[in-house]
Amino acid sequence: MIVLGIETSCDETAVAIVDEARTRRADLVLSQTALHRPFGGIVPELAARAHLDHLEPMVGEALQQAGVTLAAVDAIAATVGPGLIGGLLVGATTAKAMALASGKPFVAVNHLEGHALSARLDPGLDFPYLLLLVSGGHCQLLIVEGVGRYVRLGTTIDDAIGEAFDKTAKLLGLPYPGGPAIESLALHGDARRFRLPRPLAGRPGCDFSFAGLKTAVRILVEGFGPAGPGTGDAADIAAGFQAACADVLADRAAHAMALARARLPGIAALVVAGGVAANRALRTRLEAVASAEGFALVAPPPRLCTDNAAMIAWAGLERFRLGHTDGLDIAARPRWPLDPAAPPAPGAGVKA
Amino acid sequence: MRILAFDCATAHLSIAVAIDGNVVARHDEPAARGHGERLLPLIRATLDAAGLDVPALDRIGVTVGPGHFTGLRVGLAAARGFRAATGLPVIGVTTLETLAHQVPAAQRAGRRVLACVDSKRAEPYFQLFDDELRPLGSAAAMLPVAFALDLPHGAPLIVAGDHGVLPALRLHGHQAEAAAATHPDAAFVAALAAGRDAGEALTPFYLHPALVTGAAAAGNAP
Repeated sequence: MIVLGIETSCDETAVAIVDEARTRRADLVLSQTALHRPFGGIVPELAARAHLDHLEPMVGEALQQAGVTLAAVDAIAATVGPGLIGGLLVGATTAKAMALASGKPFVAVNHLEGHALSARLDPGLDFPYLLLLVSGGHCQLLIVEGVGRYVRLGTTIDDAIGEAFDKTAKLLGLPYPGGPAIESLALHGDARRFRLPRPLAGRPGCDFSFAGLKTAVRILVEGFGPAGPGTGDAADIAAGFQAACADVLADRAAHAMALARARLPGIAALVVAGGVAANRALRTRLEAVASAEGFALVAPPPRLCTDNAAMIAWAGLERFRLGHTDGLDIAARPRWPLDPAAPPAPGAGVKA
Repeated sequence: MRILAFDCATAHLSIAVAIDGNVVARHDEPAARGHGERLLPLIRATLDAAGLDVPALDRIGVTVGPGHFTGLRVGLAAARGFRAATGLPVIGVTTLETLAHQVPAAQRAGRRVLACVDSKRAEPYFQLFDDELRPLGSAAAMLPVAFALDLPHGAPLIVAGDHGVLPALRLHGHQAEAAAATHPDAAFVAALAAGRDAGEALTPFYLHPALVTGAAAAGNAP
């Protein structure tokens, strides 16, 4: 079984072809980071235009790289949400047209399900497991019981963790995207010099909040006057911010592991996915807390953590082999929670 | 020649299948939104009505704009998806030239044809043609009153597409009347595409640059 997947929900244009043996036969990602960097964040109209410009040639390139024709593909999958509507429409419409023209089934994929199932593509984990999804658009803890079966234990109630990194980076005068910039600056900083808040840590439950932490960083930075903090000060702030994030993730993940084990005694893996999972300091901290709770921390390879189409093709394959296909009339959805029973977090908008 | 043509760059959806110049199936509907959900099922239904499938076509015609950004991208993404799957040639035509061609020759005689498309902003898209549909200038996005003020007086005008410019034209002393055509018609897209060279690039015609406003322009994007 071979599935072609398309991902255009944010600022990466991606096309991949995967098979049932978990081989990524093609895995193309074109990042638009340079396009959006001058604006300090993603400009939706620019993103949508770039997706349209690049997607079609990437489909041809992916088929060529995989050494297959479309006739050999069993289904065509695309992200239809959640994400930026302009980009979603480009990817979903292209995939639907390819499906109609080739007579292949179309599979609509939830971008979050792509992240959630990516650990089954590589390293090839079995259900069930606990998922910590940390990205620029989300911060959630979910029990993954099976394809399409998710129980949300907690979510951010305001900002996503990746947003907090981007906003802190901007306050410190660092380039977009903020994650890698904060991580490398923090290597030279003293995390204990500035004591930043750990929002919700120690409180019951598994929800997250990053807005207060961001505000604390802003007040701290403003305290340095118009010139702003010097390089050493900025490194200390970055280290302090990252340590606060690590503490919050560890605290919330520990609660989630206890809840997950109470529900499913055999559960033994904590999967961390999403772009922020690339942060080594956070990962080290999560490894420690997982180990203390008797869980193994599992992280898909970095390429599968950031946005990509291999996880979309894989999620499409998992859905398709269970008999799920979708009509060409399915609408793109800016908000699409994995666990529809979980109440929305009003402060988080489309993120939860 | 079997052609599938469609337009979804305006608040309307138009799909036509033409065989050797005759429209054998078509679908038209007002569609202020929802092009992404409607276009492909309606294309399938229109092809079914014509007794054809995509691989049985010889080419595809699509409007490239100018028009609503999201809609024109849905149309182009569909056309490019068909091309990626089948290798069929895709010919892009503009909404403005399509509208100009929708004005019957008898009504054009001795007049200038002004094609107008709504942009969802204060400045609609305009292009002027002579009575044989040769462009008298390039397409432009302008305030109607500015367009009417800039336009040299000359032959009477017949306005196809968005008629919102008519009062401004008349106020500035232009003789102008409305053509029956209010939206691009896919049958005319098919006719234009039939006569074009398939080698031309299929490029979106936005005319308006991407709006980078407010928070994003100030470097404060969320």
